[in-house]
Amino acid sequence: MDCRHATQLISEAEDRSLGITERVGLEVHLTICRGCDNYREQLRLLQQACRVYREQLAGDASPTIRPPSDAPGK
Amino acid sequence: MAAPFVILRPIGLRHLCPASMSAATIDNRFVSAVRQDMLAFARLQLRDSELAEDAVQEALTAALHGERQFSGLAALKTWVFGILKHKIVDLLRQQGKSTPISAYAEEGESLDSKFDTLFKENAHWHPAAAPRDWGNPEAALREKHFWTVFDACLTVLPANTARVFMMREFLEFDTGEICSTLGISGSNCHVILHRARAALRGCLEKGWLIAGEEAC
Repeated sequence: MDCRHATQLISEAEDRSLGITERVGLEVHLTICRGCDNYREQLRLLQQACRVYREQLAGDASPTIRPPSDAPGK
Repeated sequence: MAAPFVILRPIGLRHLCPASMSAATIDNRFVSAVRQDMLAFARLQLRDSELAEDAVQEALTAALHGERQFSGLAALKTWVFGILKHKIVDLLRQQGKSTPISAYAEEGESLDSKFDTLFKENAHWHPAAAPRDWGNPEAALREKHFWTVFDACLTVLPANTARVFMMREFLEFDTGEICSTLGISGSNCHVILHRARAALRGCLEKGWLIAGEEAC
């Protein structure tokens, strides 16, 4: 598997269940590719940031992490 | 339609303590507390200030007409936001219907060509462009600078691509619902989401650069 294909599957895994071949192929690739492993972590952070942002605006965010309107140090 | 309430100085909901203790109804105080958050949320989705103003106004008006008693301001806010989300989805559906598939493809070409520069001919990362370790995500989310960059990155994402991404991550639609609402195919939807994430990731990395270790 090449890295470009891996990034597509990392994204799709957030939206659908990957097939067994895709999943195993991706996991094997991630054990040998630090860049793609970091990419996966970065997409996780992106997803988490969206959730925090959404929950903050809609009123039920965790008090410890907040988007800009109430960021520490403001 | 004229506003049925007076807009007061904006204050955060969290200042209306103790929020969870008393019965809550929609009054001027509530509106002034949540209106800014509603507007920010609607603007993010719709990318049009006037449309966002209208959606918020309609949501608040609908909420006033259907007013119920809630055990706290947080519960009331969640309910009003639910109404706002319905208004936003209606508008996104209209925007989607008037968007030809070629508009997604045009944005895609531009985003893909930028993403492709990160890869060598064999589709593996260029050593200098491979994603780095961003460190502790919890810590990142507490940084004011992170949120400033995040906001800016969402804003520069091309509009049609952004609509799909926002429906997924902010309105919490699954891809099947996005497809049927916007009239795009499932595989197209996955590709658009991949492009959006790749672009946002790249934008965050550029704007909020953290020295990391060598990759791949």
